[in-house]
Amino acid sequence: MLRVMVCIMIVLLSFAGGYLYSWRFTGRLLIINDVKEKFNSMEREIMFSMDTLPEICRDLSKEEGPFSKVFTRICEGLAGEGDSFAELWSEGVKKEFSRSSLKKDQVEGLALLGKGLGKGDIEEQKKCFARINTELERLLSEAREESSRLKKMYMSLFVSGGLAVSIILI
Amino acid sequence: MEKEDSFEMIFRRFPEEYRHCIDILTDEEKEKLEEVRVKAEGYLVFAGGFGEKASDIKVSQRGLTLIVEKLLDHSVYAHMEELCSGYITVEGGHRIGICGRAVMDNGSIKHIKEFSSINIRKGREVIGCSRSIQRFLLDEKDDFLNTLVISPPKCGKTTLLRDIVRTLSEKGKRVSVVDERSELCAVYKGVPQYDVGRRTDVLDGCKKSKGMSLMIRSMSPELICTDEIGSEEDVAVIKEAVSSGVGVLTSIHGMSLEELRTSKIGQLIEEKVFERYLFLSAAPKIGTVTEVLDKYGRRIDA
Repeated sequence: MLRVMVCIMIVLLSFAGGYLYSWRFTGRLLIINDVKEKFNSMEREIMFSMDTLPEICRDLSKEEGPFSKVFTRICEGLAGEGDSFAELWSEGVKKEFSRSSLKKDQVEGLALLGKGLGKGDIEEQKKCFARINTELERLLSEAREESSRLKKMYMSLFVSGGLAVSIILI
Repeated sequence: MEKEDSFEMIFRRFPEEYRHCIDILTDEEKEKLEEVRVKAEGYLVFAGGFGEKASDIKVSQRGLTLIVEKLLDHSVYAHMEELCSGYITVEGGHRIGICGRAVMDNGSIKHIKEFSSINIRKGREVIGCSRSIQRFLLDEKDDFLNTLVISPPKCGKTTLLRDIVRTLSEKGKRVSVVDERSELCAVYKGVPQYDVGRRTDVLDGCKKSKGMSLMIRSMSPELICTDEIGSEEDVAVIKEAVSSGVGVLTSIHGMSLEELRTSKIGQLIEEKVFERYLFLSAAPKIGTVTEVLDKYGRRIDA
């Protein structure tokens, strides 16, 4: 009876382990989706209200989501000794997400998104956002594909491992 | 914020390596400071009542670009109209002229890039400079008399207009200002940076002809003020204002009434639209009122 209970625990733990390990793929999707939404808001504010970047960053820093902290850092940088929006963006992304579930190349890709923002007229901002949206779509598509492929694989691996251990014990 | 403090605040927005260049000036020199010129691959030059002084730090091309971007709140797109006019107005009413490579589109300036130099001019107002001529501007019933301020450039027309507006507004008149080039009121984020009075409404950055009609219809002013008339459109809209019962206070470049009679606004003089002509000179100092004439051209300030 005790053995059966231990086996059930092992299977449950391996299931939990698989779920937690594969959560990183969900986490990546959440982060990239959040930055996509925030850039959509930024684009709307720039195109229709002509709000300045400091004002937009201040508003976005108050919203929910993993990227809000990046905008808080940017606000502090723009008000203080920070030099350019692109540098502050890159620094902010690397500080917040270098230890997150994002892969290194994904962090690098996101860090480069701030380049060109605020530097030209509206036409140049439109081109910037077109480039940003293309890059974000690529990152999202990669993350979705990875998620659908690897999540199930890791769940199966962990659960199979747990079952195998249980069988051996029994 | 005091004008002096707001002028020094501009330098706090510079990149770190240039932020303290202004410290080469003594406190007395800072008070006399009138403008600062910054050139790409050049030095910051401070000019004013003390002469000129240059910093010992060279400003690189990238450095100047960063300075301009910071002055534009890292948002060049939000300041395109001002940028294409060649200047921006910042808090405190200070004006920053910006030079670079103009990108043209159908004969108009679409953008200025590759900034090459900037000129930061300290805004100044002279409260009370119209005190000596206030008695000529209202009739016995306290109604405003249409007034034209005349002088060559750089004699203080705008400063005088501003003080007249402030005084009349404080006396209870509803004043509308159409500030086409943001020189009279220096509006920054919706707030005039000069004291133009509690009852003054400002339409900033709008062409005089369109702005004056709009203000007459929307703000029911007792008098309307604008700077530097000279075109036929200006003549038409001034006549519209006068026929609506709104007083007109404005200025023009010129030396004499005879010269103006043959100009584009000659019709306004012939029809005696203006009841007061104020002539300014820079001698012995800027803002000196040399004579006041009535609508017939007779001197009344003796």
